[in-house]
Amino acid sequence: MTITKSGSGSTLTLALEGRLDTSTAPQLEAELNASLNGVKDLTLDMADLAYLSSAGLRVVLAAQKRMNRQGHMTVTHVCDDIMEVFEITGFVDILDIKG
Amino acid sequence: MFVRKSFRRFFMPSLLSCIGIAIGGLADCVFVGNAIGPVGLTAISIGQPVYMVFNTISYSLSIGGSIHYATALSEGRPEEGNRIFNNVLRAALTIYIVLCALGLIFLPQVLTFLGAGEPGTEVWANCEELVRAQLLLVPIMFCQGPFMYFVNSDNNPKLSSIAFVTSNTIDVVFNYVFVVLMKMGVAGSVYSTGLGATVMVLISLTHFIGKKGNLRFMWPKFDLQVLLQSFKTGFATSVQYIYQFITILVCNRLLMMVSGELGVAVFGIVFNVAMVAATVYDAISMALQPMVSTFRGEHNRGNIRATLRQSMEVGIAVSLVIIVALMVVPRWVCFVFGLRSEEELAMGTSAIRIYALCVLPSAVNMVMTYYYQALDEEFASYLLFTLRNFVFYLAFSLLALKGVDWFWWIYPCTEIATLLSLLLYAKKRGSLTLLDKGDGKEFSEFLYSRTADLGKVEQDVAEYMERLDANPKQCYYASIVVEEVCGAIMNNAFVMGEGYIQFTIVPHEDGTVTIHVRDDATKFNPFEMDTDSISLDDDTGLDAIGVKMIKSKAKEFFYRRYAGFNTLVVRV
Repeated sequence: MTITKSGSGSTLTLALEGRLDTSTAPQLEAELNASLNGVKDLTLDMADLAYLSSAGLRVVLAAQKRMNRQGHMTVTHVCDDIMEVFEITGFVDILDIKG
Repeated sequence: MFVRKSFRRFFMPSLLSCIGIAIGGLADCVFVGNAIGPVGLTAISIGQPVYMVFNTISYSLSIGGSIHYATALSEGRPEEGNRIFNNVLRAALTIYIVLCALGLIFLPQVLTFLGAGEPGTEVWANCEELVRAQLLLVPIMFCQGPFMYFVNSDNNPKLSSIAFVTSNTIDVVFNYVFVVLMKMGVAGSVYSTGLGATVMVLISLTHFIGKKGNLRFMWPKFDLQVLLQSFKTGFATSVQYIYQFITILVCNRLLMMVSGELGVAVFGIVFNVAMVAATVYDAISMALQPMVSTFRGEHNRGNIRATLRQSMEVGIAVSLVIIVALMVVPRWVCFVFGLRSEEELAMGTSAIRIYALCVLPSAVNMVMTYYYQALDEEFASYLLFTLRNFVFYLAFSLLALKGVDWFWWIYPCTEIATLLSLLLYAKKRGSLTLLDKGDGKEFSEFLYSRTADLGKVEQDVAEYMERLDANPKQCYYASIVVEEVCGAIMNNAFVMGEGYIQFTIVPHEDGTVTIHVRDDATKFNPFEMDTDSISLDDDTGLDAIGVKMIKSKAKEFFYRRYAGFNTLVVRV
């Protein structure tokens, strides 16, 4: 999985590309731990994310909970398959999903 | 490695239980042979066909009836199940009582038919004593069948096993008490079997008292259709007893004609030795059959071949041990069965050494018969079984007409002729394993421990699905199934990181794929994970998120603990 960081100051966008699964979830988790200090507006851009498993969902959930405390998180450009996963698992109710 | 480990795990307990059963079978001959001598062994051989008749009736009705009973229960028709059980039990008892009454009325004619020789001889007296006892106790002895199979099918295999083991133990112990200590003669061996059977039925009755299952006693309307269906279904298994009835009868009569009672007594010993050897191959089959059936469901030809190879290796190794034992100490074997004089020992030794020549080909023949059965190659299995146990056996029994020494070649000749037939059949079918080459579209991979790279495996699955031209949604959920199920097993069922998971993906013509996941970990059903407890707010139950996804999207999914494996099947 490739993670591309952009943004400045209190705004951060992480563009995720590839597959967020058991083996790549720790990579995103490490990136979030290293980058979220002082961030008030986080965007996870999933335009090029093809696959998301429960391991990835856990990292997304942890990120959402941290951002609930320090600001806001938005998930964008979610493909149909991943949207279905969010719906099945109830993540649609806790995430701010846009276009 | 997976196959070897699993085979070992099944084989040893099976071997021990089969040896236990074999000891029960040998007890009659050993105690009677030592307490009464060859004339007692002759009587047992002569009386064997009586048991075979009732075995045929009992096993046909019980096995067939219990299969229909289990089907009725699985279809939610418990009343129908009880109707089947009570019809079978009542019919079996009625047939036993009528046949036994007729047998007792016409006992002299029955004894003549069985080949007991002339009235007034010692052999006749012993046979009369034995067969009378058999006919008196048959109704209770053969009630074991219906109780054992139906209680087992009524989800109480534990009680069924306890009853069986207890019955067997009582048979052996009281055989010694009645025949050796109390000197009750050859009939004592029948009384001990009857006592064991009575205890077994009593133990089985506790299943009804506790009302834990569905089985109930009732008096249903007579249903010929149920009985015929049950008999037909069970007949495939019990046809062996008809073969044995005919072959033993023919051999006994031939031997009585050419060598008198000693030939029949030695035949009884060789028959028992053959039963012990067969016991080992039965144990192999108990390991082979569930494994081959499982791998067959997964289209896993590699593991099927490995299981067959493993079975053959064990079969051949055990055969070599048996051959050496029989060749080196045949006199000991004869001694154990009560032969003492030089004439008896000479005939027994010669017979056992000739029998030893058949052990190796018989291992191959029996393993292949069980293998074909597990593969649902019914014709091949039935062909081998019939040639070996009936056609060739009967044909080569005519060797007895050249003299008793020739008769013992019946075993090597039968086994070698069967083996040649097997090879010819395999050549005709193009392969000994009878496995088609497949279309190569299945995909299979292993995960060897908790630290296996699940991410790589899941990506391999995605690439495989793309090669199949599966639609994106299917690719997605096939990967999800593999990752989530394997992950749940690795996290929850592997002890100390140890274990194996093998999964196989089988594509179907309708565009769906079936994912078979099999592991050798402790019992664990991922589909029982509590998906209702998932709370994203409280961070609870998150382990079950993957399973929730599978349950929502799979067309079918089920788990079963089978033959020591956890097996899961998911269709997407």
